[in-house]
Amino acid sequence: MALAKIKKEHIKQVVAFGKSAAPLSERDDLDELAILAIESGDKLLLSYFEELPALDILKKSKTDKELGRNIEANQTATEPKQTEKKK
Amino acid sequence: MLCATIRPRTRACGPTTGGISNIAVFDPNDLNFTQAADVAGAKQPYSVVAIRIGATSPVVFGITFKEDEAEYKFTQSRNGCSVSYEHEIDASIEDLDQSATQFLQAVDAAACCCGLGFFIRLNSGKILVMGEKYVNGESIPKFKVAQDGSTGTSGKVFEDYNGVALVFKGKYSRALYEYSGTWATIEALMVA
Repeated sequence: MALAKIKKEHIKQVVAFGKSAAPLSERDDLDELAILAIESGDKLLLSYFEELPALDILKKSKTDKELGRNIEANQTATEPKQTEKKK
Repeated sequence: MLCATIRPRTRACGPTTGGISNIAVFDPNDLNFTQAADVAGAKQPYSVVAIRIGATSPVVFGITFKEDEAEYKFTQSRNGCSVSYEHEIDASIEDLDQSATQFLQAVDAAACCCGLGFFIRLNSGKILVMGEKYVNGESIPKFKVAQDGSTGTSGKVFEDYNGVALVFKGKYSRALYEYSGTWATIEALMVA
């Protein structure tokens, strides 16, 4: 769950970033976008968000999310081997 | 460096390629580019492209050109401390027809009023931005790109070329910035 929240009036707004140009309501990288908005001072990008958490909190959330993904990926990679052992 | 901060020009050893893969045009008033803060004084590429409020979709339009005929180039010149970069895109669109006329009329009208913006996807994979107007929610010094010097021909015999040799030119104070996202995200703006 992203910490950064989009204002209702901007949920359909399309933003091209990274590998996706999905509307803001469908994006799973809002924290990353929020970090960029704060670091660049982009007034347009900042205007899409509700009041944002502090930059260090957003960065920690992004890191935790990435770590979570890595742990999940590692677990998925090791699961078939465990099944083989059970056999 | 007692006078100026010089930077190295380095790249990982590996091959690259010449030529242009795709060109897309936009109204510079329609898009806002996000540029992260300088890192150790160095300008960063654009990382986000957002449709500005009030712009009507689609906001980016692809240009189908004759394969292997498009080229982007620039010429840098200097007068004292004043630096100028003359940017140019050359591309051939085949077949003189109503669609070609409509395209030319549209780009002439846009160029007269507000200029044109371009995404240029090189065969190397890099995406360059030319003619942008809004960065980080604010307008930047005017970077006006317009059609200037295009020529058209029907050819004389069957095998002759029939089409328009497009030329877009624009002067600015620097070389082009890169967009760090994928071309798929630009394509999405063509239908958004």
